Amino acid sequence: MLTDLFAALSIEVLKLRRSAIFRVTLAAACFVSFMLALMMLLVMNPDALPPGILKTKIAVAAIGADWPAYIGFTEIAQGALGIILYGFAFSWIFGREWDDGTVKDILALPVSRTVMAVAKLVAAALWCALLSAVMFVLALALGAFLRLPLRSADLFPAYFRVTAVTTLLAVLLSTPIAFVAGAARGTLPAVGFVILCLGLANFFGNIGLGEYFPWAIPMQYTGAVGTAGNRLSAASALIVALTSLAGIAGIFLYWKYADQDK
Amino acid sequence: MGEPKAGNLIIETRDVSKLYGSLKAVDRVSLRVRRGEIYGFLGLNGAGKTTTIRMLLGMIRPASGEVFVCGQSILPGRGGPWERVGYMVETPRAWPELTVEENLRAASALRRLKGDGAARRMIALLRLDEYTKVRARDLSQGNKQRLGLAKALIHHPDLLILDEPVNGLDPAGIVEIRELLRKSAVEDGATVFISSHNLGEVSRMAKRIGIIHRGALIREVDAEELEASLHRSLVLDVRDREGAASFLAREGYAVDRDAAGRLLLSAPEVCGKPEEINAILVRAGFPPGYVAVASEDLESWFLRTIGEDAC
Repeated sequence: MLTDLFAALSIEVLKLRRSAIFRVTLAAACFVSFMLALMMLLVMNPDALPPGILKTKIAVAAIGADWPAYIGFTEIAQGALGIILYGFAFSWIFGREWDDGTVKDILALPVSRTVMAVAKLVAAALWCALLSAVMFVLALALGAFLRLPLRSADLFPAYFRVTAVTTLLAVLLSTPIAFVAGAARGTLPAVGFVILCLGLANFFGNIGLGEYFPWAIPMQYTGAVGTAGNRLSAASALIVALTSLAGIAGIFLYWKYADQDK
Repeated sequence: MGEPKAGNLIIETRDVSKLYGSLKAVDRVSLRVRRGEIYGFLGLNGAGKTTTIRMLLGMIRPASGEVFVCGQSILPGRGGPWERVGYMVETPRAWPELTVEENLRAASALRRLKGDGAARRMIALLRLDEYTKVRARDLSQGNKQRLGLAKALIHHPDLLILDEPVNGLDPAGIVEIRELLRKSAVEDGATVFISSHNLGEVSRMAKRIGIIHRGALIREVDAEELEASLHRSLVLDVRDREGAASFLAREGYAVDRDAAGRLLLSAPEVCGKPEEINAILVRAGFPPGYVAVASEDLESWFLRTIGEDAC
Protein backbone atom coordinates (compact mmCIF):
# COMPACT_ATOMS: atom_id res chain seq x y z
CA MET A 1 0.00 0.00 0.00
CA LEU A 2 2.73 2.47 1.00
CA THR A 3 4.87 1.40 -1.96
CA ASP A 4 1.89 1.99 -4.26
CA LEU A 5 1.27 5.39 -2.69
CA PHE A 6 4.90 6.38 -3.05
CA ALA A 7 4.93 5.29 -6.71
CA ALA A 8 1.72 7.20 -7.47
CA LEU A 9 2.92 10.26 -5.57
CA SER A 10 6.28 10.28 -7.41
CA ILE A 11 4.39 10.28 -10.72
CA GLU A 12 2.09 13.10 -9.61
CA VAL A 13 5.08 15.18 -8.48
CA LEU A 14 6.90 14.51 -11.77
CA LYS A 15 3.82 15.53 -13.79
CA LEU A 16 3.57 18.68 -11.72
CA ARG A 17 7.26 19.57 -12.06
CA ARG A 18 7.06 19.16 -15.81
CA SER A 19 3.91 21.26 -16.21
CA ALA A 20 3.78 24.90 -17.23
CA ILE A 21 0.99 25.51 -14.74
CA PHE A 22 3.38 24.81 -11.87
CA ARG A 23 5.72 27.56 -13.04
CA VAL A 24 2.80 29.92 -13.65
CA THR A 25 1.50 29.53 -10.07
CA LEU A 26 5.01 30.02 -8.68
CA ALA A 27 5.33 33.16 -10.77
CA ALA A 28 1.91 34.37 -9.51
CA ALA A 29 2.97 33.83 -5.89
CA CYS A 30 6.20 35.77 -6.50
CA PHE A 31 4.35 38.51 -8.38
CA VAL A 32 1.97 39.10 -5.46
CA SER A 33 4.91 39.32 -3.04
CA PHE A 34 6.71 41.82 -5.27
CA MET A 35 3.55 43.91 -5.71
CA LEU A 36 3.06 44.11 -1.94
CA ALA A 37 6.70 45.16 -1.52
CA LEU A 38 6.24 47.76 -4.24
CA MET A 39 3.20 49.09 -2.40
CA MET A 40 5.25 49.42 0.79
CA LEU A 41 7.99 51.16 -1.16
CA LEU A 42 5.44 53.72 -2.37
CA VAL A 43 4.06 54.15 1.15
CA MET A 44 7.60 54.81 2.35
CA ASN A 45 8.22 57.32 -0.44
CA PRO A 46 4.89 59.04 -1.17
CA ASP A 47 6.65 61.98 -2.79
CA ALA A 48 7.97 59.69 -5.50
CA LEU A 49 4.40 59.38 -6.80
CA PRO A 50 2.93 61.96 -9.19
CA PRO A 51 -0.26 63.61 -7.94
CA GLY A 52 -3.23 61.33 -8.65
CA ILE A 53 -5.65 58.78 -7.28
CA LEU A 54 -2.99 56.40 -5.97
CA LYS A 55 -1.17 59.11 -4.07
CA THR A 56 -4.46 60.36 -2.58
CA LYS A 57 -5.51 56.83 -1.60
CA ILE A 58 -2.25 56.13 0.16
CA ALA A 59 -2.53 59.40 2.05
CA VAL A 60 -6.17 58.77 3.03
CA ALA A 61 -5.57 55.17 4.10
CA ALA A 62 -2.81 56.31 6.43
CA ILE A 63 -0.91 53.04 5.99
CA GLY A 64 2.10 52.72 8.24
CA ALA A 65 5.41 52.05 6.54
CA ASP A 66 6.49 49.33 8.98
CA TRP A 67 6.61 45.56 9.43
CA PRO A 68 3.18 45.14 11.11
CA ALA A 69 1.42 46.95 8.24
CA TYR A 70 3.41 45.04 5.62
CA ILE A 71 2.76 41.66 7.22
CA GLY A 72 -0.91 42.55 7.68
CA PHE A 73 -1.18 43.12 3.92
CA THR A 74 0.65 39.90 3.06
CA GLU A 75 -1.67 37.94 5.35
CA ILE A 76 -4.74 39.47 3.70
CA ALA A 77 -3.29 38.66 0.28
CA GLN A 78 -2.61 35.07 1.32
CA GLY A 79 -6.15 34.70 2.70
CA ALA A 80 -7.79 35.83 -0.53
CA LEU A 81 -5.20 34.57 -2.99
CA GLY A 82 -4.88 31.22 -1.20
CA ILE A 83 -8.44 30.28 -2.12
CA ILE A 84 -7.72 31.07 -5.79
CA LEU A 85 -4.21 29.64 -6.13
CA TYR A 86 -4.77 26.53 -4.02
CA GLY A 87 -8.18 25.96 -5.53
CA PHE A 88 -6.57 26.17 -8.95
CA ALA A 89 -3.87 23.68 -7.89
CA PHE A 90 -6.46 21.13 -6.78
CA SER A 91 -8.60 21.77 -9.86
CA TRP A 92 -5.67 21.12 -12.17
CA ILE A 93 -4.27 18.06 -10.41
CA PHE A 94 -7.65 16.33 -10.46
CA GLY A 95 -9.34 17.83 -13.51
CA ARG A 96 -6.45 17.47 -15.93
CA GLU A 97 -6.92 13.69 -16.12
CA TRP A 98 -10.29 14.35 -17.78
CA ASP A 99 -9.00 17.28 -19.84
CA ASP A 100 -6.15 15.14 -21.18
CA GLY A 101 -8.25 11.96 -21.49
CA THR A 102 -5.78 10.08 -19.27
CA VAL A 103 -8.23 9.18 -16.52
CA LYS A 104 -9.10 5.88 -18.20
CA ASP A 105 -5.43 4.84 -17.92
CA ILE A 106 -5.46 5.01 -14.12
CA LEU A 107 -8.75 3.26 -13.42
CA ALA A 108 -7.90 -0.42 -13.99
CA LEU A 109 -4.46 -0.79 -12.43
CA PRO A 110 -3.03 -2.91 -9.63
CA VAL A 111 -2.60 0.38 -7.74
CA SER A 112 -6.09 1.13 -6.47
CA ARG A 113 -8.12 4.20 -7.42
CA THR A 114 -8.19 5.22 -3.76
CA VAL A 115 -4.38 5.29 -3.67
CA MET A 116 -4.33 7.30 -6.89
CA ALA A 117 -6.73 9.85 -5.36
CA VAL A 118 -4.73 10.04 -2.11
CA ALA A 119 -1.54 10.63 -4.12
CA LYS A 120 -3.23 13.48 -5.93
CA LEU A 121 -4.45 15.03 -2.68
CA VAL A 122 -0.96 14.82 -1.18
CA ALA A 123 0.68 16.26 -4.32
CA ALA A 124 -1.78 19.17 -4.40
CA ALA A 125 -1.25 19.86 -0.68
CA LEU A 126 2.55 19.83 -1.18
CA TRP A 127 2.17 22.23 -4.08
CA CYS A 128 0.09 24.62 -1.93
CA ALA A 129 2.59 24.36 0.93
CA LEU A 130 5.40 25.23 -1.46
CA LEU A 131 3.50 28.28 -2.77
CA SER A 132 2.88 29.45 0.80
CA ALA A 133 6.52 28.92 1.69
CA VAL A 134 7.62 30.94 -1.34
CA MET A 135 5.27 33.80 -0.41
CA PHE A 136 6.38 33.68 3.23
CA VAL A 137 10.12 33.69 2.49
CA LEU A 138 9.79 36.33 -0.22
CA ALA A 139 7.72 38.56 2.07
CA LEU A 140 10.43 38.40 4.73
CA ALA A 141 13.24 38.88 2.23
CA LEU A 142 11.57 41.85 0.54
CA GLY A 143 10.62 43.41 3.89
CA ALA A 144 14.25 43.14 4.99
CA PHE A 145 15.39 44.58 1.68
CA LEU A 146 13.09 47.60 2.20
CA ARG A 147 14.51 48.03 5.73
CA LEU A 148 11.06 48.38 7.26
CA PRO A 149 11.13 49.57 10.85
CA LEU A 150 10.72 46.76 13.39
CA ARG A 151 9.59 47.22 17.01
CA SER A 152 9.34 43.57 18.11
CA ALA A 153 10.64 40.36 16.56
CA ASP A 154 7.61 38.53 18.04
CA LEU A 155 5.88 39.53 14.84
CA PHE A 156 7.60 36.83 12.77
CA PRO A 157 6.50 33.70 14.70
CA ALA A 158 2.96 35.10 14.66
CA TYR A 159 3.23 35.68 10.90
CA PHE A 160 4.49 32.11 10.42
CA ARG A 161 1.52 30.80 12.46
CA VAL A 162 -0.99 32.80 10.42
CA THR A 163 0.60 31.63 7.15
CA ALA A 164 0.54 28.01 8.30
CA VAL A 165 -3.07 28.16 9.52
CA THR A 166 -4.24 30.02 6.40
CA THR A 167 -2.54 27.45 4.16
CA LEU A 168 -4.04 24.58 6.13
CA LEU A 169 -7.52 26.12 5.95
CA ALA A 170 -7.25 26.79 2.22
CA VAL A 171 -5.93 23.27 1.55
CA LEU A 172 -8.71 21.70 3.61
CA LEU A 173 -11.29 23.77 1.75
CA SER A 174 -9.87 22.69 -1.61
CA THR A 175 -11.06 19.07 -1.32
CA PRO A 176 -14.61 19.93 -2.50
CA ILE A 177 -12.97 21.71 -5.45
CA ALA A 178 -11.08 18.50 -6.29
CA PHE A 179 -14.38 16.62 -6.09
CA VAL A 180 -16.02 19.09 -8.49
CA ALA A 181 -13.06 18.66 -10.90
CA GLY A 182 -13.80 14.92 -11.00
CA ALA A 183 -17.58 15.01 -10.97
CA ALA A 184 -17.70 17.76 -13.63
CA ARG A 185 -14.87 16.01 -15.52
CA GLY A 186 -12.41 18.79 -16.05
CA THR A 187 -10.45 21.71 -14.69
CA LEU A 188 -12.66 24.48 -16.02
CA PRO A 189 -15.85 23.71 -14.04
CA ALA A 190 -13.74 23.43 -10.89
CA VAL A 191 -12.13 26.82 -11.54
CA GLY A 192 -15.64 28.20 -12.03
CA PHE A 193 -16.57 26.72 -8.67
CA VAL A 194 -13.53 28.43 -7.08
CA ILE A 195 -14.61 31.79 -8.47
CA LEU A 196 -18.17 31.23 -7.22
CA CYS A 197 -16.85 30.34 -3.75
CA LEU A 198 -14.67 33.44 -3.69
CA GLY A 199 -17.60 35.67 -4.68
CA LEU A 200 -19.84 34.13 -2.02
CA ALA A 201 -17.03 34.37 0.55
CA ASN A 202 -16.81 38.11 -0.07
CA PHE A 203 -20.56 38.45 0.18
CA PHE A 204 -20.88 36.48 3.44
CA GLY A 205 -17.80 38.18 4.88
CA ASN A 206 -19.19 41.61 4.17
CA ILE A 207 -22.59 40.91 5.73
CA GLY A 208 -20.95 39.61 8.90
CA LEU A 209 -21.52 35.89 8.32
CA GLY A 210 -17.97 35.12 7.20
CA GLU A 211 -17.22 32.73 10.02
CA TYR A 212 -20.10 30.46 8.91
CA PHE A 213 -19.34 30.24 5.20
CA PRO A 214 -16.46 27.80 4.61
CA TRP A 215 -14.53 29.72 1.96
CA ALA A 216 -14.89 33.04 3.83
CA ILE A 217 -13.23 31.58 6.93
CA PRO A 218 -9.56 31.86 5.76
CA MET A 219 -10.28 35.37 4.50
CA GLN A 220 -11.94 36.27 7.79
CA TYR A 221 -9.00 34.76 9.67
CA THR A 222 -6.45 36.90 7.83
CA GLY A 223 -8.63 40.00 7.91
CA ALA A 224 -9.35 40.07 4.18
CA VAL A 225 -13.06 40.28 5.09
CA GLY A 226 -14.84 40.97 8.36
CA THR A 227 -13.17 41.96 11.59
CA ALA A 228 -12.23 38.64 13.25
CA GLY A 229 -8.51 39.08 12.42
CA ASN A 230 -6.32 36.05 13.29
CA ARG A 231 -8.97 34.36 15.41
CA LEU A 232 -10.62 31.10 14.45
CA SER A 233 -13.81 30.25 16.30
CA ALA A 234 -14.69 26.66 17.17
CA ALA A 235 -17.70 26.88 14.85
CA SER A 236 -15.49 27.99 11.96
CA ALA A 237 -12.98 25.22 12.63
CA LEU A 238 -15.79 22.66 12.67
CA ILE A 239 -17.30 24.03 9.45
CA VAL A 240 -13.92 23.81 7.67
CA ALA A 241 -13.34 20.26 8.96
CA LEU A 242 -16.80 19.08 7.88
CA THR A 243 -16.50 20.75 4.47
CA SER A 244 -13.12 19.12 3.94
CA LEU A 245 -14.37 15.71 5.04
CA ALA A 246 -17.35 16.02 2.71
CA GLY A 247 -14.95 16.84 -0.13
CA ILE A 248 -12.69 13.89 0.67
CA ALA A 249 -15.65 11.50 0.93
CA GLY A 250 -16.95 12.82 -2.39
CA ILE A 251 -13.58 12.31 -4.08
CA PHE A 252 -13.17 8.73 -2.90
CA LEU A 253 -16.76 7.71 -3.61
CA TYR A 254 -16.67 9.31 -7.05
CA TRP A 255 -13.32 7.84 -8.04
CA LYS A 256 -14.29 4.43 -6.79
CA TYR A 257 -17.90 3.99 -7.81
CA ALA A 258 -18.94 6.50 -10.48
CA ASP A 259 -19.25 5.46 -14.12
CA GLN A 260 -16.19 6.59 -16.04
CA ASP A 261 -17.27 6.85 -19.62
CA LYS A 262 -15.18 9.81 -20.77
CA MET B 1 -16.78 -26.12 -31.35
CA GLY B 2 -17.74 -27.41 -27.89
CA GLU B 3 -18.98 -25.32 -24.99
CA PRO B 4 -15.92 -23.91 -23.20
CA LYS B 5 -15.41 -24.87 -19.56
CA ALA B 6 -15.83 -22.04 -17.09
CA GLY B 7 -12.19 -22.31 -15.96
CA ASN B 8 -11.03 -21.89 -19.53
CA LEU B 9 -12.88 -18.60 -19.96
CA ILE B 10 -10.88 -15.44 -19.43
CA ILE B 11 -13.75 -13.10 -20.28
CA GLU B 12 -17.36 -13.92 -19.59
CA THR B 13 -20.32 -11.59 -19.62
CA ARG B 14 -23.80 -12.80 -18.78
CA ASP B 15 -26.65 -10.79 -20.28
CA VAL B 16 -24.85 -7.51 -19.66
CA SER B 17 -26.79 -4.35 -20.45
CA LYS B 18 -26.10 -0.66 -20.12
CA LEU B 19 -28.63 2.10 -20.46
CA TYR B 20 -28.07 5.81 -20.98
CA GLY B 21 -31.47 7.27 -20.29
CA SER B 22 -33.74 5.45 -22.67
CA LEU B 23 -30.88 4.46 -24.98
CA LYS B 24 -29.72 0.85 -24.71
CA ALA B 25 -25.99 1.23 -25.33
CA VAL B 26 -25.44 -2.47 -24.63
CA ASP B 27 -28.29 -4.94 -24.72
CA ARG B 28 -27.93 -8.31 -22.95
CA VAL B 29 -24.52 -9.16 -24.36
CA SER B 30 -23.15 -12.56 -23.40
CA LEU B 31 -19.51 -13.03 -24.37
CA ARG B 32 -17.32 -16.03 -23.71
CA VAL B 33 -13.68 -15.58 -24.60
CA ARG B 34 -11.37 -18.54 -24.12
CA ARG B 35 -7.88 -18.40 -22.72
CA GLY B 36 -5.26 -17.88 -25.43
CA GLU B 37 -7.64 -16.92 -28.22
CA ILE B 38 -7.70 -13.74 -30.27
CA TYR B 39 -11.25 -12.51 -30.22
CA GLY B 40 -12.38 -9.80 -32.60
CA PHE B 41 -15.19 -7.56 -31.43
CA LEU B 42 -16.65 -5.91 -34.45
CA GLY B 43 -19.20 -3.17 -34.83
CA LEU B 44 -19.94 0.14 -36.42
CA ASN B 45 -19.14 3.35 -34.56
CA GLY B 46 -21.60 3.69 -31.69
CA ALA B 47 -22.52 -0.01 -31.75
CA GLY B 48 -21.57 -0.51 -28.09
CA LYS B 49 -17.99 -1.82 -28.36
CA THR B 50 -16.34 0.74 -26.10
CA THR B 51 -19.14 0.64 -23.53
CA THR B 52 -18.74 -3.14 -23.35
CA ILE B 53 -14.97 -2.77 -22.97
CA ARG B 54 -15.41 -0.21 -20.19
CA MET B 55 -17.68 -2.65 -18.38
CA LEU B 56 -15.04 -5.38 -18.78
CA LEU B 57 -12.54 -3.02 -17.12
CA GLY B 58 -14.84 -2.02 -14.26
CA MET B 59 -15.08 1.58 -15.44
CA ILE B 60 -18.84 1.42 -15.93
CA ARG B 61 -21.43 -0.37 -13.84
CA PRO B 62 -23.76 -2.56 -15.93
CA ALA B 63 -27.47 -1.83 -15.58
CA SER B 64 -27.97 -5.59 -15.42
CA GLY B 65 -26.00 -8.77 -15.94
CA GLU B 66 -22.60 -9.88 -14.73
CA VAL B 67 -19.03 -9.48 -15.93
CA PHE B 68 -16.18 -11.85 -15.14
CA VAL B 69 -12.55 -11.27 -16.11
CA CYS B 70 -9.93 -13.91 -15.29
CA GLY B 71 -12.62 -15.57 -13.18
CA GLN B 72 -13.23 -12.49 -11.01
CA SER B 73 -16.50 -10.64 -10.85
CA ILE B 74 -15.98 -7.07 -12.06
CA LEU B 75 -17.77 -4.01 -10.73
CA PRO B 76 -16.56 -0.43 -10.25
CA GLY B 77 -14.92 0.01 -6.87
CA ARG B 78 -14.35 -3.68 -6.26
CA GLY B 79 -10.88 -4.02 -7.73
CA GLY B 80 -10.05 -6.70 -10.23
CA PRO B 81 -7.31 -8.86 -11.70
CA TRP B 82 -5.70 -5.77 -13.20
CA GLU B 83 -2.12 -6.98 -12.71
CA ARG B 84 -2.98 -9.60 -15.37
CA VAL B 85 -4.77 -7.24 -17.75
CA GLY B 86 -3.35 -4.73 -20.23
CA TYR B 87 -5.72 -2.39 -21.99
CA MET B 88 -6.10 0.51 -24.33
CA VAL B 89 -9.49 2.21 -24.51
CA GLU B 90 -10.44 4.45 -27.42
CA THR B 91 -7.88 7.03 -28.54
CA PRO B 92 -4.63 6.34 -26.67
CA ARG B 93 -3.59 9.16 -24.39
CA ALA B 94 -0.49 9.72 -22.33
CA TRP B 95 0.49 12.38 -19.83
CA PRO B 96 1.41 15.09 -22.34
CA GLU B 97 4.15 16.83 -20.36
CA LEU B 98 6.08 13.60 -19.76
CA THR B 99 8.42 12.06 -22.31
CA VAL B 100 7.81 8.66 -23.87
CA GLU B 101 10.33 7.13 -21.48
CA GLU B 102 8.80 8.83 -18.44
CA ASN B 103 5.31 7.75 -19.45
CA LEU B 104 6.48 4.16 -19.76
CA ARG B 105 8.35 4.30 -16.44
CA ALA B 106 5.19 5.63 -14.82
CA ALA B 107 3.12 2.85 -16.40
CA SER B 108 5.70 0.36 -15.18
CA ALA B 109 5.63 1.72 -11.60
CA LEU B 110 1.83 1.67 -11.52
CA ARG B 111 2.02 -1.99 -12.61
CA ARG B 112 4.38 -2.66 -9.70
CA LEU B 113 7.30 -3.56 -11.97
CA LYS B 114 10.78 -2.98 -10.57
CA GLY B 115 13.42 -0.94 -12.39
CA ASP B 116 13.19 0.50 -15.89
CA GLY B 117 13.89 -2.74 -17.80
CA ALA B 118 10.25 -3.12 -18.85
CA ALA B 119 10.14 0.45 -20.17
CA ARG B 120 13.33 -0.08 -22.18
CA ARG B 121 12.03 -3.39 -23.55
CA MET B 122 8.81 -1.73 -24.72
CA ILE B 123 10.68 1.16 -26.32
CA ALA B 124 12.67 -1.34 -28.38
CA LEU B 125 9.68 -3.58 -29.14
CA LEU B 126 7.43 -0.76 -30.34
CA ARG B 127 10.29 0.99 -32.17
CA LEU B 128 10.04 4.13 -30.08
CA ASP B 129 13.85 4.47 -29.67
CA GLU B 130 14.00 7.76 -31.55
CA TYR B 131 11.30 9.29 -29.36
CA THR B 132 12.35 8.36 -25.82
CA LYS B 133 13.03 11.99 -24.87
CA VAL B 134 10.11 13.42 -26.83
CA ARG B 135 7.16 14.66 -24.80
CA ALA B 136 3.98 12.69 -25.42
CA ARG B 137 2.12 15.79 -26.59
CA ASP B 138 4.59 16.19 -29.46
CA LEU B 139 4.18 12.65 -30.83
CA SER B 140 2.38 11.88 -34.09
CA GLN B 141 -0.92 10.00 -33.87
CA GLY B 142 0.80 6.78 -34.95
CA ASN B 143 3.48 7.07 -32.27
CA LYS B 144 0.85 7.91 -29.65
CA GLN B 145 -0.81 4.65 -30.68
CA ARG B 146 2.48 2.81 -30.24
CA LEU B 147 2.98 4.38 -26.83
CA GLY B 148 -0.54 3.32 -25.84
CA LEU B 149 0.19 -0.24 -26.92
CA ALA B 150 3.53 -0.20 -25.08
CA LYS B 151 1.72 0.81 -21.88
CA ALA B 152 -0.79 -2.01 -22.39
CA LEU B 153 1.88 -4.64 -23.04
CA ILE B 154 4.50 -3.53 -20.52
CA HIS B 155 3.70 -6.13 -17.85
CA HIS B 156 3.25 -9.21 -20.10
CA PRO B 157 -0.47 -9.38 -19.42
CA ASP B 158 -2.49 -12.60 -19.64
CA LEU B 159 -5.30 -10.59 -21.20
CA LEU B 160 -5.02 -7.70 -23.61
CA ILE B 161 -8.13 -5.60 -24.18
CA LEU B 162 -7.58 -3.26 -27.10
CA ASP B 163 -10.04 -0.80 -28.54
CA GLU B 164 -9.23 0.03 -32.17
CA PRO B 165 -5.49 -0.62 -31.70
CA VAL B 166 -4.34 0.13 -35.24
CA ASN B 167 -6.15 3.43 -35.70
CA GLY B 168 -3.75 6.08 -36.93
CA LEU B 169 -1.01 3.65 -37.93
CA ASP B 170 0.42 3.53 -41.43
CA PRO B 171 0.15 0.25 -43.41
CA ALA B 172 3.61 -0.93 -42.29
CA GLY B 173 2.73 -0.12 -38.67
CA ILE B 174 -0.53 -2.06 -38.97
CA VAL B 175 1.29 -5.17 -40.17
CA GLU B 176 3.88 -4.76 -37.42
CA ILE B 177 1.28 -4.41 -34.66
CA ARG B 178 -0.74 -7.31 -36.06
CA GLU B 179 2.35 -9.54 -35.86
CA LEU B 180 3.14 -8.27 -32.37
CA LEU B 181 -0.34 -9.12 -31.10
CA ARG B 182 -0.31 -12.49 -32.80
CA LYS B 183 3.07 -13.20 -31.20
CA SER B 184 1.73 -12.17 -27.79
CA ALA B 185 -1.09 -14.66 -28.22
CA VAL B 186 0.95 -17.52 -29.69
CA GLU B 187 4.26 -17.24 -27.83
CA ASP B 188 3.19 -15.65 -24.55
CA GLY B 189 -0.19 -17.36 -24.37
CA ALA B 190 -1.99 -14.05 -23.93
CA THR B 191 -5.66 -13.72 -24.73
CA VAL B 192 -6.32 -10.77 -27.02
CA PHE B 193 -9.71 -9.06 -27.12
CA ILE B 194 -9.62 -6.57 -29.92
CA SER B 195 -12.40 -4.25 -31.00
CA SER B 196 -12.61 -2.65 -34.38
CA HIS B 197 -15.01 -1.37 -36.99
CA ASN B 198 -12.74 -2.83 -39.67
CA LEU B 199 -13.62 -6.45 -40.41
CA GLY B 200 -10.72 -6.87 -42.80
CA GLU B 201 -8.28 -5.99 -40.04
CA VAL B 202 -9.97 -8.12 -37.38
CA SER B 203 -10.35 -11.15 -39.64
CA ARG B 204 -6.59 -11.20 -40.26
CA MET B 205 -5.93 -11.63 -36.56
CA ALA B 206 -8.94 -13.08 -34.79
CA LYS B 207 -9.81 -16.74 -34.38
CA ARG B 208 -13.33 -15.80 -33.44
CA ILE B 209 -15.36 -12.73 -34.21
CA GLY B 210 -18.35 -11.31 -32.38
CA ILE B 211 -20.50 -8.75 -34.11
CA ILE B 212 -22.21 -6.12 -32.04
CA HIS B 213 -24.89 -3.98 -33.61
CA ARG B 214 -27.09 -1.42 -31.87
CA GLY B 215 -25.87 -2.75 -28.53
CA ALA B 216 -26.69 -6.41 -29.16
CA LEU B 217 -24.30 -9.24 -29.97
CA ILE B 218 -25.95 -10.41 -33.17
CA ARG B 219 -23.51 -13.05 -34.32
CA GLU B 220 -20.36 -14.94 -33.37
CA VAL B 221 -18.34 -16.78 -36.00
CA ASP B 222 -15.07 -18.70 -36.16
CA ALA B 223 -12.57 -17.69 -38.79
CA GLU B 224 -13.35 -20.88 -40.80
CA GLU B 225 -17.06 -20.30 -40.44
CA LEU B 226 -16.64 -16.76 -41.65
CA GLU B 227 -14.74 -17.97 -44.69
CA ALA B 228 -17.51 -20.47 -45.45
CA SER B 229 -20.28 -17.93 -44.98
CA LEU B 230 -18.89 -15.48 -47.53
CA HIS B 231 -21.03 -15.40 -50.65
CA ARG B 232 -19.27 -16.57 -53.81
CA SER B 233 -20.05 -15.74 -57.41
CA LEU B 234 -18.87 -16.98 -60.74
CA VAL B 235 -17.69 -14.00 -62.76
CA LEU B 236 -17.83 -14.32 -66.54
CA ASP B 237 -16.94 -12.00 -69.33
CA VAL B 238 -17.88 -12.59 -72.94
CA ARG B 239 -17.84 -10.46 -76.02
CA ASP B 240 -21.64 -10.54 -76.40
CA ARG B 241 -22.71 -9.93 -72.81
CA GLU B 242 -26.39 -9.40 -73.61
CA GLY B 243 -26.62 -12.56 -75.68
CA ALA B 244 -24.83 -14.68 -73.08
CA ALA B 245 -27.01 -13.27 -70.29
CA SER B 246 -30.21 -14.09 -72.21
CA PHE B 247 -28.95 -17.56 -73.00
CA LEU B 248 -28.05 -18.32 -69.38
CA ALA B 249 -31.38 -16.96 -68.18
CA ARG B 250 -33.18 -19.23 -70.66
CA GLU B 251 -31.14 -22.15 -69.29
CA GLY B 252 -32.46 -21.32 -65.79
CA TYR B 253 -29.48 -19.52 -64.26
CA ALA B 254 -29.96 -16.36 -62.20
CA VAL B 255 -27.69 -13.80 -63.85
CA ASP B 256 -26.52 -10.57 -62.27
CA ARG B 257 -24.03 -7.92 -63.33
CA ASP B 258 -21.06 -6.56 -61.43
CA ALA B 259 -19.98 -2.91 -61.48
CA ALA B 260 -17.98 -3.50 -64.67
CA GLY B 261 -20.99 -5.05 -66.44
CA ARG B 262 -19.59 -8.59 -66.28
CA LEU B 263 -21.96 -11.50 -65.69
CA LEU B 264 -22.34 -12.84 -62.16
CA LEU B 265 -23.78 -16.24 -61.30
CA SER B 266 -24.26 -16.49 -57.55
CA ALA B 267 -25.94 -19.86 -57.06
CA PRO B 268 -23.70 -22.08 -54.87
CA GLU B 269 -23.96 -25.07 -57.24
CA VAL B 270 -22.64 -22.93 -60.10
CA CYS B 271 -19.59 -21.70 -58.16
CA GLY B 272 -18.59 -25.31 -57.60
CA LYS B 273 -18.41 -26.14 -61.33
CA PRO B 274 -17.07 -23.23 -63.33
CA GLU B 275 -15.72 -25.54 -66.04
CA GLU B 276 -19.23 -26.82 -66.78
CA ILE B 277 -20.60 -23.28 -67.27
CA ASN B 278 -17.60 -22.50 -69.42
CA ALA B 279 -18.36 -25.53 -71.64
CA ILE B 280 -22.07 -24.62 -71.94
CA LEU B 281 -21.21 -21.09 -73.06
CA VAL B 282 -18.62 -22.32 -75.58
CA ARG B 283 -21.15 -24.75 -77.07
CA ALA B 284 -23.74 -21.95 -77.30
CA GLY B 285 -21.33 -19.68 -79.18
CA PHE B 286 -20.46 -17.36 -76.29
CA PRO B 287 -16.86 -18.35 -75.43
CA PRO B 288 -15.89 -16.58 -72.17
CA GLY B 289 -12.80 -14.44 -72.19
CA TYR B 290 -12.71 -14.44 -68.42
CA VAL B 291 -13.97 -16.95 -65.82
CA ALA B 292 -13.29 -16.67 -62.08
CA VAL B 293 -14.85 -17.55 -58.74
CA ALA B 294 -14.92 -14.36 -56.61
CA SER B 295 -15.52 -14.20 -52.89
CA GLU B 296 -17.71 -11.56 -51.32
CA ASP B 297 -15.52 -8.97 -49.69
CA LEU B 298 -15.54 -8.82 -45.89
CA GLU B 299 -17.10 -5.40 -45.65
CA SER B 300 -20.05 -6.56 -47.77
CA TRP B 301 -20.40 -9.63 -45.56
CA PHE B 302 -20.39 -7.43 -42.46
CA LEU B 303 -22.95 -5.01 -43.89
CA ARG B 304 -25.09 -7.95 -45.03
CA THR B 305 -24.88 -9.49 -41.57
CA ILE B 306 -25.95 -6.35 -39.73
CA GLY B 307 -28.48 -5.64 -42.48
CA GLU B 308 -30.04 -9.08 -41.97
CA ASP B 309 -30.27 -8.34 -38.29
CA ALA B 310 -31.81 -4.96 -38.93
CA CYS B 311 -34.55 -6.67 -40.97
